[in-house]
Amino acid sequence: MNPVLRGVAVYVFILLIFRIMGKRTLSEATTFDLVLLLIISEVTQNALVGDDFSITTAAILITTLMGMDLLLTLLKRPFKGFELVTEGVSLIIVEHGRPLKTRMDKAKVDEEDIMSSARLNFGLERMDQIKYAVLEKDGSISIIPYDEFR
Amino acid sequence: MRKKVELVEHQLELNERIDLHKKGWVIQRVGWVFMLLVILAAALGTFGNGILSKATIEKGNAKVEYQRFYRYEAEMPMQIFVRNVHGPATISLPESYVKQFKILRIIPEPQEYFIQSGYVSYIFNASSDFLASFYIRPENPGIIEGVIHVNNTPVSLQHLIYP
Repeated sequence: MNPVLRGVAVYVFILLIFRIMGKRTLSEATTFDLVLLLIISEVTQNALVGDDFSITTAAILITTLMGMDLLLTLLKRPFKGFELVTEGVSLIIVEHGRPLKTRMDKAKVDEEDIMSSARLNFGLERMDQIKYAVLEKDGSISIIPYDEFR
Repeated sequence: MRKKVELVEHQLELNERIDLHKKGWVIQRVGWVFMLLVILAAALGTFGNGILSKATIEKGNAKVEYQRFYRYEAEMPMQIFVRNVHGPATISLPESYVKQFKILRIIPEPQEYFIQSGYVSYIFNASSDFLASFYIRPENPGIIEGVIHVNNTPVSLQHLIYP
């Protein structure tokens, strides 16, 4: 099959499956996640190049993948909705020390994830020291502590 | 029980678009179910190598085991049995069918083969029951059809090849 078609198909498929799996998938690089990611890349590589080892195919595929990425970036500017769909939106999960359980459930985040981020970034000890916690687009959790704990 | 998503009044410079989140969560759930269905379908052989894919046609003395579904550029097995053969066994494949595949291996190797009136014929030295295994690789996605002849018994085959 034509390498450009392969590249586009694989790009769209990966974009879709990562959006379906949710923000938090593979965002925490545990050893297991890292290995899983390596396996995924290995499988993808086979589908992309098959048994064609030419530099031409590699160049076509790299160009196709980069081109798809560029196209997506360009589409995001005029069509705001497009960015919301492909990248998602940030979500507040703690408000004034109160964890918002339903939101956390839906986004597959637990209190331990939030506290871990609070400890790492601000050395906070308790949930009530957090003013806001936000689940960002990339799956990381940003913490905004009360002023006295900054 | 459906829980209501908490509403937040905040001073952050952040447009939450909670309506989009809600839609996204629904789509995500649908996506998970779809993934599960794909995994199940694949395990059963919708994309080859499974009970849904494996097919057998028996006709006269001939029996052909083949795959209904398979994948582009993957090695596809096909087994052809012939009962009560005396003398050479002939397996003929139409040229239009052979053109869609790359024939990787034939076990046992045919004694000779030739092309005649649109058919590629393989002649095997056989006695009593005979089995030939063809390992072929689809070179095009889509539906591949052909009527093969096993010792003059026509057997109609159809494969759906996924890209």
